Amino acid sequence: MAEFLSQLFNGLVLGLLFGVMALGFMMILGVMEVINFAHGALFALGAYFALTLQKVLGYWLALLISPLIVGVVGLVIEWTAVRRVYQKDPLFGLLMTFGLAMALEEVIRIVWGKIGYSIAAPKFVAGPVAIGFLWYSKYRLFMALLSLILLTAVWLFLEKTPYGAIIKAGVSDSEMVLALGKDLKRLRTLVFGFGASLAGIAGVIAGPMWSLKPTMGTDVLMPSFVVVVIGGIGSFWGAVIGGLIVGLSKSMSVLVWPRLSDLMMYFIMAIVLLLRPRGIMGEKSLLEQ
Amino acid sequence: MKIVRYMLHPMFIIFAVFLVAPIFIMRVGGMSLAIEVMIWAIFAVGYNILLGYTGLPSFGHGLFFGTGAYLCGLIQHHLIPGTWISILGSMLGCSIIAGILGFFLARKRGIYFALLTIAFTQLFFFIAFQWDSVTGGENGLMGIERYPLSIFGLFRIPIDGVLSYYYFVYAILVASIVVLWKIVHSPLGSVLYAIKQNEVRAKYLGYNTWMYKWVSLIISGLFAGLAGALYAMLQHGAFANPIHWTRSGDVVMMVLVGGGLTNFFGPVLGAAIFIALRDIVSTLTEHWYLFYGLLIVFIILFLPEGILGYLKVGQTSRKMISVEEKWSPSLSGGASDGHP
Amino acid sequence: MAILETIGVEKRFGGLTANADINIQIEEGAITSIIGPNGAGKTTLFNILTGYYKPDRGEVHYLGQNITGWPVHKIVRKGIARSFQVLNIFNEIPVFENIRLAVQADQKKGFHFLKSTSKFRSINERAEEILDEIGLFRVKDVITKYLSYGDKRILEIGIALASRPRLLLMDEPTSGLPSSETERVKNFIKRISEKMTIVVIEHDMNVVLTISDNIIVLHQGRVIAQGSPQEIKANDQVQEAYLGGIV
Repeated sequence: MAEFLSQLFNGLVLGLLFGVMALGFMMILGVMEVINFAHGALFALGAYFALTLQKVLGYWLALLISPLIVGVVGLVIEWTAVRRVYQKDPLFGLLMTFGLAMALEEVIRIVWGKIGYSIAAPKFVAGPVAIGFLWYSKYRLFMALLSLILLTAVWLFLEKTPYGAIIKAGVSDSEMVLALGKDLKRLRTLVFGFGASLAGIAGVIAGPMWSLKPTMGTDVLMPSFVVVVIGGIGSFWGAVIGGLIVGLSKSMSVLVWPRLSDLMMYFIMAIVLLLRPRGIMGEKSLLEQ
Repeated sequence: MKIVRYMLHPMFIIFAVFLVAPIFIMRVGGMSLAIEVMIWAIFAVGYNILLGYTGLPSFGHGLFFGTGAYLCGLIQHHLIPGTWISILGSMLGCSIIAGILGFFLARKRGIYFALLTIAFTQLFFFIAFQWDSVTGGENGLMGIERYPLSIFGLFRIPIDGVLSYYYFVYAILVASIVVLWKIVHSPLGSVLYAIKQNEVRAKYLGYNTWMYKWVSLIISGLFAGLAGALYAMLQHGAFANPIHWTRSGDVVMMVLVGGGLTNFFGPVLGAAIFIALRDIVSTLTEHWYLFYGLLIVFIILFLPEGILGYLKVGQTSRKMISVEEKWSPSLSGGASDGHP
Repeated sequence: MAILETIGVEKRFGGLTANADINIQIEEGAITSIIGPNGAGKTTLFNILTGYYKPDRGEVHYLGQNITGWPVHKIVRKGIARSFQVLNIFNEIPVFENIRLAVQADQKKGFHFLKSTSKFRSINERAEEILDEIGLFRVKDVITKYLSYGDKRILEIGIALASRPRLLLMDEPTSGLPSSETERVKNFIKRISEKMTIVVIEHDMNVVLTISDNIIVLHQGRVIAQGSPQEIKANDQVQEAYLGGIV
């Protein structure tokens, strides 16, 4: 029972984090029609920046600054490379970010080395806490809280700001965004930066839970893909629900058959695709054309 | 003059170059690299049916390559130890898998199609990696043999030597290119290219475009499976690595570097350049992936038409062949979608 | 006898009703024009008739058979062809190839995969015949995107003709053409109407009134009038809603 509950919590925590990752990925996909392969590498960069910054600035400042740096990296990437493939064959955007992902991962390997690091959880959330009869990691609860705050922030941004309205329009129909004319350029840069920093902050949060290794980005990228396919492109709640489904499927299958843990989400994806080809919350989008 | 024209045909040049290449390569070494080039060329030219001619950007074709390799080994270990049977079995198996995945994929286009192919390749990677009782998991499926070829039970030709295997793969390369060339210039090929340019109109001509896209997937899957089986025999083993999404870019880059989707033969040149480059760079530095990543960015920014496109080789030689050669896939074709 | 009939067809996009309660009958052998202001739902109706959209409600009957919800290619093979308002041709290949692809579909040879297209004599001959008929033989080897606009419009119709339709739906065939070219297209429609039933969406009232046997007027997704050109001209509601000062 305790194991079941603990895996359930693990799944929820993981799911919220995947939700955060997937939202950034999805915004970039929707507005730019680019599959951002570099999203995982940006996630890893977030964790590594935090590793370095924490030693100098402490936890809170690292949590704040590291995503900002990742955001800037995102802006630079958009500005120098990704920008040039809009309106071209979708394959080009895909390959471009794929190349960037490969290069960034290798840069991490060069700068921080091949070996893994583990980050200690900050002191105020170190150790376990009793929830009823279950002892559960304080840090994971803290992660869930942070992810919820982030999700709320993204929701407020999408629902309550004019930029959010435009992004939402873009996510379901980028021709509507095209009608905006010259602002589109700025919007795209902004969305790329914003999506990148979301990935960065997810990396910072995830750091103490997983050990840091150069491939951590590639490992976390696929769940983001699957979340978007399951949840449906262009839907905030789709990303959240998809995130939770993927998170839970990963953790709960450990109870049944640990080997299934990496596979389960793909099976769920296939089933969802059979029943609802556009994902749970998806609507017909231009990306299918 | 007709003979000169045939001799300048890229197909003839490719066949001739690979025919005599061992004379030079034997002296400097690297025969197995040359074999690898031919295997990847088969893979890439077949893949380009889907990418360049039908306009479906699969980013998970390592799935079929890797699965082909496993099937080759599994057939040898559990069914019949024979070269032909394991190759044909891999091709059949991969086309069946392509057919099944096609039910999910063939209704999709563009980015969404790519997204799904990536997810599926990763699904297969984990299956291959986790199911170690069958696939050998992390260690790979070892002990894949190159059994002597039996021709009508009369002759037995050994192919376990490096030179004999080279010419075995060469023969398959020649056959594959001829078949794929015929497909591209057949009614089927013309419909695939029509779908790339304007799927809606193709439907309005009365073509069941879903079915054609499905067939295109199967063709590319079949040749990927063939290449995978040959690769397994070259390495005497099958591994999960080529199925992982981080390797998905390899075949796409071969197509792009060679002829930028505009050229039937581009992928052959692309395969040669890619594999040679990887070999050279890997001996100079351990950071091949940094180089690889930056190379991709460079190619897309500055050389999107590939080397043949940049040198305008495709265009001139195409005119010399025949009138029907005037059309060949191009990137801009994908842009004009007719929506009523 | 009606070759095509709709019963209570309705189509909505979100909150917008594109077509509502459409009940029309297309008479075999006649030229029927569909007119109406922009956004009246004319193209949507074509999309429903040809299976591109599935109607939310109602049925489409063709030759007495319920074809509602059939896929496009199946409807096309039953003998309904369509040309488009926004040019919808294969731009990257020669003009000849455009027609050849259509003939190839008509002769159901699309899945042959080892014989070169040049060896299918009956397809190639038929394609050349059609090019000759529509007057584009002289440009048959030109890559389509380099064609003049007028020739592209003719090709657009030629592709539809190649599938030997019994019913041809034409969406603004004169769209964007100068008046001299409009005349050419008008005569062309007249000529082919001897062999098939034609439904045409058209803005040019001069064309509509001279070629049509029947006219259907759409307004805000509904049929507000149908009848002969004389009846339509005399209809007050139509005058008010659409024709205004034109006629």
